[in-house]
Amino acid sequence: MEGGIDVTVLFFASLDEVAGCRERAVRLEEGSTVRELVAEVATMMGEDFLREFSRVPIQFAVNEAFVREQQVLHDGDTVALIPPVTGG
Amino acid sequence: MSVRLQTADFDLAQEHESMRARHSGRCGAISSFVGVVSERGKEHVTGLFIDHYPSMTQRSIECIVERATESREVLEVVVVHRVGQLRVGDQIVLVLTCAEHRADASAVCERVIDLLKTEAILWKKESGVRGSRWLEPSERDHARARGWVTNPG
Repeated sequence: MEGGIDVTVLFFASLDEVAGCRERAVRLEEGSTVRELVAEVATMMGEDFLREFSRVPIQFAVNEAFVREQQVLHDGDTVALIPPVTGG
Repeated sequence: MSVRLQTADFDLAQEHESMRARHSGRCGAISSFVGVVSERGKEHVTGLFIDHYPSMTQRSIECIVERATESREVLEVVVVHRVGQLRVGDQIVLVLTCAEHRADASAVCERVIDLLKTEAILWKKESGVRGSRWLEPSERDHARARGWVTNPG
C-alpha cells in the first residue's frame, strides 16, 4: 500500500483473549479513521473477535486519549480498543 | 496524591504509619479502605485476574482522586491498586486519606472507592468452579458513583 500509514492496535481484557495477542500492527490507507481501522481489524481477527466486539460497547483511545470513531489516524498512532471497565 | 499500580502486595500498617509521619502535627484523621478478593457467596470464586492499560489506568485513577477531593480539604490521598493474578483472600486495593478533620478523610475515602468501581480503567476476570468470565459493570456501582456527582457534599 503506497503512501499508507502504520498503526498499532492494543487489545485488553476479553478482546485480548479473543484476539490472542496484546497488540497488532495494521497498515491502512492514508486518511483512514478509527472506524476503518476497526473494520480492518475485524477482518484480520475473525469471527470470535467480531462477535465479542459486537457484544459489548467499545471505546477508542488514540495515543492514550479517548476519541470518536470518526477520528482520522496518522502514521505511528497507537489505538486502544477499550471494553467496558469493571473498575477497582 | 500518590497512585501506584503494582503486582506486589501492600502493607496497610506500613502505609498508614508513613502517611501519619508525613503529616505529623496537621493530621487529625486517617481513613483507610482495603478491598479483598472474596468467594462472592454462591459464585465460589477462586481467583481474580485484573487487566490494565498502564498509562491510562494510572491517569484514570489520578482523575478519580482529583474529583473525589473537590470541595473537601485533605492533606493526602494514597491509592495502591494491584494488577495481575490474585487469589481469594488477597488484597486488591488500598485507599488511604489523611485530613485535619475526620469528615473530610472519610468522605473522600468513600468517594474514591465508589468512583474506582466505575471509572478506573481496569478489567476483572473471575475464575471459579464454573469456569472464568470477564465481569461487566453493575448498575448498582454506577448508581453509587452517580450519587457522588449529583450530591457531592
